[in-house]
Amino acid sequence: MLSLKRFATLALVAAMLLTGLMAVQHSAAQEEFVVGYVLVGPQNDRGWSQAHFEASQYVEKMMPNVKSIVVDKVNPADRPNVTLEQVVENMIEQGAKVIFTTSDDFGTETLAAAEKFPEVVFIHVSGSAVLEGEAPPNVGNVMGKMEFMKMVAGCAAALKTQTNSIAYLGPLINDETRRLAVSTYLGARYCYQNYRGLDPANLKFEVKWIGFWFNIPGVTADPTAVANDFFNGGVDVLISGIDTTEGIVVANQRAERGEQVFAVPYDYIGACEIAPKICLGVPYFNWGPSYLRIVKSVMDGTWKSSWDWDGPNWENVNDLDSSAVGYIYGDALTEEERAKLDAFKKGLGDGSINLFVGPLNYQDGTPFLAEGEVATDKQIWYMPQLVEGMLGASKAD
Amino acid sequence: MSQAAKLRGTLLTFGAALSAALALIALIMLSLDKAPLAAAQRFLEGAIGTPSARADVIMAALPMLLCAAGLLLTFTAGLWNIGVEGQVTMGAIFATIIARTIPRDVSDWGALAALILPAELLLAMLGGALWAGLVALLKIRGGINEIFGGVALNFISVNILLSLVNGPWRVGTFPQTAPFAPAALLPRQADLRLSPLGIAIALIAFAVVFMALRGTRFGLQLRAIGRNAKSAGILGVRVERNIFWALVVCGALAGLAGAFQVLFTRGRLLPNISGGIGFMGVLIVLLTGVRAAWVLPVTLFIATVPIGSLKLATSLDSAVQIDAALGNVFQSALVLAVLIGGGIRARLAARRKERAEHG
Repeated sequence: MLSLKRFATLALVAAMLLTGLMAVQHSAAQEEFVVGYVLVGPQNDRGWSQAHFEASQYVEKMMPNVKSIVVDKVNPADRPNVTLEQVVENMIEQGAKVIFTTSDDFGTETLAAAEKFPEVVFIHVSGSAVLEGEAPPNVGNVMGKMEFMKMVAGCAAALKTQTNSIAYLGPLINDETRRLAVSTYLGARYCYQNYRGLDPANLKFEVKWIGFWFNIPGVTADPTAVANDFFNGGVDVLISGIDTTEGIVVANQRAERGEQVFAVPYDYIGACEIAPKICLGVPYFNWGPSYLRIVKSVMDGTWKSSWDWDGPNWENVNDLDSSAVGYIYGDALTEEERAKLDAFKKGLGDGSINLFVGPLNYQDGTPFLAEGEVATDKQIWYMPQLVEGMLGASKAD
Repeated sequence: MSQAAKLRGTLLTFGAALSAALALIALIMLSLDKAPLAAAQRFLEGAIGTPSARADVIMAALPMLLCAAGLLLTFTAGLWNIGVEGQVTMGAIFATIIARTIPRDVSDWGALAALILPAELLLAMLGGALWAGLVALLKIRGGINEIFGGVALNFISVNILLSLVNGPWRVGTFPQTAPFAPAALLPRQADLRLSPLGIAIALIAFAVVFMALRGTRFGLQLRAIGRNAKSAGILGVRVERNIFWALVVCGALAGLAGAFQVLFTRGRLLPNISGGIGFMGVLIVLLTGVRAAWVLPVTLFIATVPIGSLKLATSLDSAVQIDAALGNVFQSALVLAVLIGGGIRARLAARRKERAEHG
């Protein structure tokens, strides 16, 4: 006889099987456009990767028939037996037509995948293979013009510093990180001279590179120790260029002990929340509008391979529907300082202030821009050195 | 106990452990509002449903199989070769010594080109064997337990790797070498990530170990040492020499696994190149209770986990879209359940024996 117990078990198994199968069929029935996002870090890292994750949600919100596949932590430490190629293949099996690979790290693998799947559009974020003519026709590049927001960060630091000493906590050294550090310095120098009326020769601006985007014990310099060294050496504003929060955390500890110090974090729109009272604001990426534009153009068939360096919406850099980069003011800024920063941003926006204009020398004294010469996008993108007046290494040794 | 009863017991323990691990995962998923059965279906589909998935599973299994094969030797002799992870790393480093120097165009190399791969693999085996030899020397000459020696050497190997990819071997901004030239890589099929040559090498290595354990003097002596090293020594087994060779052969096989990681899986040297496959080998051998015949199926089973869980992570259906870390939870839960199951069995057997003895 079929016992009651066995019957109940069977019924339970059958019911679970049915719900399971229904869930699968349900997803197959919808008519949808699939977009894949490959993230190098965790999707909730309060930094680089989270900004991409939020952009994927933004695209879904604006276009309800778009479905996202987000795979995060694609790096050999978190997923030792998984390569980008496998991730991409799985996404394409699920119907992905556009795939964003959102780390400099994915460069060569993205190009290889694009050769293998010519009918899928690959967007390699922060790369420049298209600019160099090395990319197949189904690859595009996109990046935000963070340089402008770094200039604002530098300006805020120059308005605030009383010790005339600003520090920049740098990640690893490459073209991108050099141009961001240089932009920060140029912003600081301009505002120190023009808004405070001081001689920029007296402004100390030092960069220290920890060696990677975040702390890896035993591999990188410890950002907490580097930050403390800076403050011990008389710095009173620390600008972070790394993906994690050590800079503002250390500044906050020192401030709680009564020191007059401030910080500018990086990368994530909510970064000031860690220590609002000492925060001079945060420059951040807002990938949503760029991704939306790219996905739309692929959908309607107008997409063409391009290298896009998307700028802010100068009307309102914090308009999340249109600005590729933004700057949120921190609580530590006074009304007067905010007004000066507003004027600075206005000048950058209407072109009356251009900081990449000669005369400007590289750090070793060789000329970068002659008197009156304006740097091209390419010259800025491939920044080979820091510029004269900055302290710190231009190249990894 | 008869052979059949023993097999039944093993299958029962494994089945019960598997069910327990699956039930745990199902509970976690239900608490996250996910559909466990649909996920299981997708997992299987993802791991064995397509030729490319099957190829990925097989290729992911190979380095683990090599490590497990080597560890069968050491575990049989009662040695916990935890240093296997460092031996994998050293193998990867040694293979890279040659691989990074191979140019993209080797058309004018002639017959020399055919020697690239054998040279890389041999050097990798040498690297692994060297590292394992250190563990053996520390144990035999220094009286340092192989676990402590292995842990220390793992740590050192990681630091050698990091200093190389951060320093002289770094190409570009990230701590890694440039991608190796095709001539330096394990040849793979054009359409699938499958390397028949790699499969052949791993299976031959495993078969050799299997037969060595079954039918050779070496295997017999290792078993004797594993049962009781002191008695084996009194009976004329040269304990130290056998321990040395068990470790060195294990290291060579682990080095080969490291070569697979750089010459196939990654195509370049980068930090964490082993990704824990050495420890995975330890888990496999523990799961099978150091029984060689079980190693092959268990390794294949373990290798489905990363591939299948990637399929879950890339799923469009949010009811089965789960973090791939859950795959690791499953693996660990399974190992724990098998070990507990084994413990319960041993205790039951002991109690039976006791009862039988006391009548």
